[in-house]
Amino acid sequence: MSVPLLEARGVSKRFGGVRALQGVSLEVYENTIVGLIGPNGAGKSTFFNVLTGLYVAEEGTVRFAGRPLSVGQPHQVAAAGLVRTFQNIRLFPQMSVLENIMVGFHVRTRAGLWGAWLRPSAVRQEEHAILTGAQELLDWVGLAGQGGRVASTLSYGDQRRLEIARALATRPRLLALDEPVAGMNGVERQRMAQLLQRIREQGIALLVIEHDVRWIAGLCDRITVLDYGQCLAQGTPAEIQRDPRVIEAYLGTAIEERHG
Amino acid sequence: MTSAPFARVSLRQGRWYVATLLLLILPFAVEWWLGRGWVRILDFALLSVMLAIGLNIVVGYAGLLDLGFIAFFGVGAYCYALLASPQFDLHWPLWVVLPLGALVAASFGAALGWPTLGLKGDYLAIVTMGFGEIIRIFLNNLNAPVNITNGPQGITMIDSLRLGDWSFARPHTLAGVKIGSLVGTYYLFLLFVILALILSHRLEYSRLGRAWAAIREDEIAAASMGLDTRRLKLLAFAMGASFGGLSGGLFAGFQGFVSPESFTLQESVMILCMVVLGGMGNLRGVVSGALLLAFLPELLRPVGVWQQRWLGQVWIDPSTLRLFLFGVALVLLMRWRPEGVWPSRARAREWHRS
Repeated sequence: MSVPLLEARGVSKRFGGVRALQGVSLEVYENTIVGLIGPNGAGKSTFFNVLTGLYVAEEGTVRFAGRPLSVGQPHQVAAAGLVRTFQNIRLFPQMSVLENIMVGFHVRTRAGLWGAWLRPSAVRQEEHAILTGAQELLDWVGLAGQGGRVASTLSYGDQRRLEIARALATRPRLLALDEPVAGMNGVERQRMAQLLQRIREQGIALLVIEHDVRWIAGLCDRITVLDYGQCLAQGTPAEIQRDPRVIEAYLGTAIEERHG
Repeated sequence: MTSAPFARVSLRQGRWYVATLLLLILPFAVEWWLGRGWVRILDFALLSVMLAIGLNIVVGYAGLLDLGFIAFFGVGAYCYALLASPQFDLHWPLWVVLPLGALVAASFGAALGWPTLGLKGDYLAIVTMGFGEIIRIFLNNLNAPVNITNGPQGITMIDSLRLGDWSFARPHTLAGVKIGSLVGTYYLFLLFVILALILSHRLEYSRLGRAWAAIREDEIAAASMGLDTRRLKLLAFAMGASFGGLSGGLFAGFQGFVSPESFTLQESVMILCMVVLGGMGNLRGVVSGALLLAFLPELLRPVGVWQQRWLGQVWIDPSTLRLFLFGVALVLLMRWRPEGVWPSRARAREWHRS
């Protein structure tokens, strides 16, 4: 394959004495789903925060679509086409479901101060396009008919879907999802996996954080395993599931060994 | 079946006609019923409404707590005062000075916004409060080494509001109706308030208004969705400030006199109260809050008379009692309607989540 869409090289991040990330490297190619797994505290979310400009890494480079990502400028990262969701869902809670998605269109639209005041036909058309686009996305992620509800009143699973719809509204090239199925049951996980596949079919690459190895193995093309802020292993799901280091990190050493 | 032409006027339109008519005859009714003093109060109340609309952009839309808002009112007022008074012997016309004042205030707004971009909530409130005081102290001290603002004495003999041949400081007779200067000023201010309402309303329901609301709700999520939060916050500060500046210019022309005393922290707090009490984020609420707080102190003015009548003598200094009752009213209002008199949907929900 050609140049990766996302290419992180040797990313390190410290919080005081804690080394949250130590030389983490990862690639995501167009049209692929990449999993990022690891035990709690392995640095997965920290890595996401570095990628999306919320944290500034001490070392390492992140290139997106062949260009270095602007450091510490989340909005520019999103404008470049890398958009994320959050582990502890961050919607605009008191805005309506539809408004949440409409905010996602902001980065791809232009109307400014004078546009708002004078409302020329171009601005009215743009606003109309935002509204219809938001409604389409709403249906597309499976939230049809919920547009008028207050975002915070949605069920947990629907809030996850809304967060994804809002991210899709920014027309990303890479969607980074932080634990999109946390707290969901088997059926919901299945439906979420289907949604993510459909997103990939739209030509959007995905980078997914998740604990559930089986779920992510069924979804991803490649998996990177983080442990203690370091890359433990990288490979196809089958390789990862066989890797003894991964098994150890996840299940601990065998019980006989420990007690024996 | 044919209907009479006026039957085609829908209920909605009808309400607008009634409201317009009421607003047009209001000053005459007030003058006739309550006297000229109350028309003056009404004029000042309209300036307060404009200030509240401006602050609402910052506090209500973008969620940035600003305790120094009166500074922009001051900047607008001094702009007018310096460019249309004997101070520098400049007498620029209204239609130049007012927009210029709004523009200068907007740049002061951006200048305040710049260093405070990383701050939130109480920290932002403290910095903006400091900024407000700095402006006031500057106005107070810029009489030396070069006399610009005339210091604490303020600037007097400011040109009255005048559009072409129409001076708002003099009575006119139009189609046989005598329009006093205060009534004429009321119409001018009303025009500006309506303009401010339209501009603010259109901002609220625009791409920018949505972006501000998103920043207010969750700044990190907003930034991660591609919103340039720094720029948007600066824009909110500048926008709010420009309304403040416009109001300040009108104030200077109306009073004919400005001094730093008019721009104290207490005034900033008062405008914030108008916005919060009325229901921040909702224009109807903000307007009601501004009117309520503009009139309440005036309604409480006869407390001395009340004491005399009911208690036989004046026990408590009327001005002290007036402030006390005003405070009590604020406390009660906040106790029973924390979301404000007429809140926006979002705010009401925040307070009444079951």
